[in-house]
Amino acid sequence: MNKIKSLADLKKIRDEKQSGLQTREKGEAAENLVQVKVAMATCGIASGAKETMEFMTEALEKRGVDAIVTQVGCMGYCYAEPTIEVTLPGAEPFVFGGVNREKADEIIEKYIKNGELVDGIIPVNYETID
Amino acid sequence: MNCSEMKEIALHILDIAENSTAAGADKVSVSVREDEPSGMLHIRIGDNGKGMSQEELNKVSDPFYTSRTTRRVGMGIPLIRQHAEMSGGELKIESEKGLGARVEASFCLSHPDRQPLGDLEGCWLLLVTANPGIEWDLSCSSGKGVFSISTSEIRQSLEVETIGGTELTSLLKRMIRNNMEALGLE
Repeated sequence: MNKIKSLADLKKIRDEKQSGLQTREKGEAAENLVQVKVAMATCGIASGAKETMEFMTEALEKRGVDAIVTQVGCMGYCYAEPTIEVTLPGAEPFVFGGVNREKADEIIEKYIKNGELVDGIIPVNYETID
Repeated sequence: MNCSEMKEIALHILDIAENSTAAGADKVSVSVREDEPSGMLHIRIGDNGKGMSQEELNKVSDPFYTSRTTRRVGMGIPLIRQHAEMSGGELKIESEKGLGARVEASFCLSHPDRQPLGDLEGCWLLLVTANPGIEWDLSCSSGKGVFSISTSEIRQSLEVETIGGTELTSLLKRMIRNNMEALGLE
């Protein structure tokens, strides 16, 4: 395999591959996708949010879920880190606490794929952060 | 979860960069420079966010000060300061209201209490893929060379609007890894 050292190398490899792969880079409006926000302030990062974030991104892609995973600041639930906010298309957002790999896996399989609620939801008089 | 605290310098970088985005910055630069002649590792994070007044600057290393309203403590800066000083380095912050902020941390490379640099590659990948709306300008260097990458450069060269998707992410990861390995940062 060629060593990718520059963006030019990267582009070349991507273009060679492109024909054979389905891409979903363009188009789809955010409202139609599953949105996952991972709280990554000091509290989150110190509790392992980076690992949670990497797992979520990878697992959602692998399991064919169209999702946008982004990094956000502290949601105020430092005691329950790592926390993530999940918004299914057309649904109210839910915040889940204590999201390690296993929990993240459960959230994907049960809530994101089937809309089935799982333990770990932080009940709130809810205000989202920007 | 096996990672229960700020064990790596890369995690501090993620954390301090989050302060920049929280301060409303849309341009953030991060540089990691291993300077072997002086034996120091320098981390510099600069942004164009709302900045801090002198009064806020004076309080920023106090763990019981924070500007946010979601909680009452602010540990990010005190922790990186502690870890820098533990290794014989220091932390400097410069800022003016309305003019962004610059945080510079130095760590003594050979000090036994210096934290490992950690997963800088993962940290960069996360910054560029998970923060739409922020222009990142990232660079790292050692005696062996310099590697830099920016979100505007990625978008331009690859003709994409958003940086994401499995394929692009994994290619970016390989590119970042190859370049970082060549620099031999630790």
